[in-house]
Amino acid sequence: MVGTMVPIVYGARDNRAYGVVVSHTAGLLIGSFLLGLTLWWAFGLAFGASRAVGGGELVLSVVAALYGLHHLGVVRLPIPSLRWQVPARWRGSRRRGWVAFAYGLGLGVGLLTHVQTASMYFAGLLAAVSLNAATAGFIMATFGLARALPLIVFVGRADSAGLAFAFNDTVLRHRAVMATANGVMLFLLAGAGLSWFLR
Amino acid sequence: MRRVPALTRRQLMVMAVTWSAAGAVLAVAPQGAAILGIGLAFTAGLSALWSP
Repeated sequence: MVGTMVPIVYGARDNRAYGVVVSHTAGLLIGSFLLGLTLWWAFGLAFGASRAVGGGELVLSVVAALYGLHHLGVVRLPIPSLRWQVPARWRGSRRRGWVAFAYGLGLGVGLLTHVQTASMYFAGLLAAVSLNAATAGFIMATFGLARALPLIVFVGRADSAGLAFAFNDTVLRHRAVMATANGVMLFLLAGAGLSWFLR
Repeated sequence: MRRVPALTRRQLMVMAVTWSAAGAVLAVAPQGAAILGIGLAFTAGLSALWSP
């Protein structure tokens, strides 16, 4: 992801890169915050103000545990996902700030693009059942923030492109870290779901 | 699918039980659901580094 960002790979090492990263980060945060609000509103519409679904906690617990095992390679389950990509022609646009913002907005919504892990769906579910709309928005905004972090880390470095590619290579060699982190988070959720059900 | 990262069945079981127990404790904490949601969203966001 880092390697595809406009200022690092295709742009010069100038101050405009900061502006582009700020635009992109703003897009990510706004897109993901709006996703949280939308999920919260839609869930309330579907299940009422109480947001209670009978036995839902038990189902959540079992499904989260299964997806935890999926990320650890024990079982194989589908992760529904769209394959929309940012149009390649955007790269050539002169309005880099707007392109970066729109790019961030699309990625921030998350569910419209490739979804790498089941954690995204469970985070969305917890946002949907949260106490209020602001909490839902902030939960999903964390997704946008995490997506922006690598860019924020690299933008100020003198040799951003080289560093970014080296980082990308390292990341790709350590796929197990991502899988294990997702497995752990989903087991945490499985335990929490069971606890909520038994309470 | 490869088992990650080469965990034995016993290690997997211990991992699942340990983290599930931690999740059960977190569930009773104030704002436990929101904390879990933030953790999941953050993990999902960072996992995008591995996107194609």
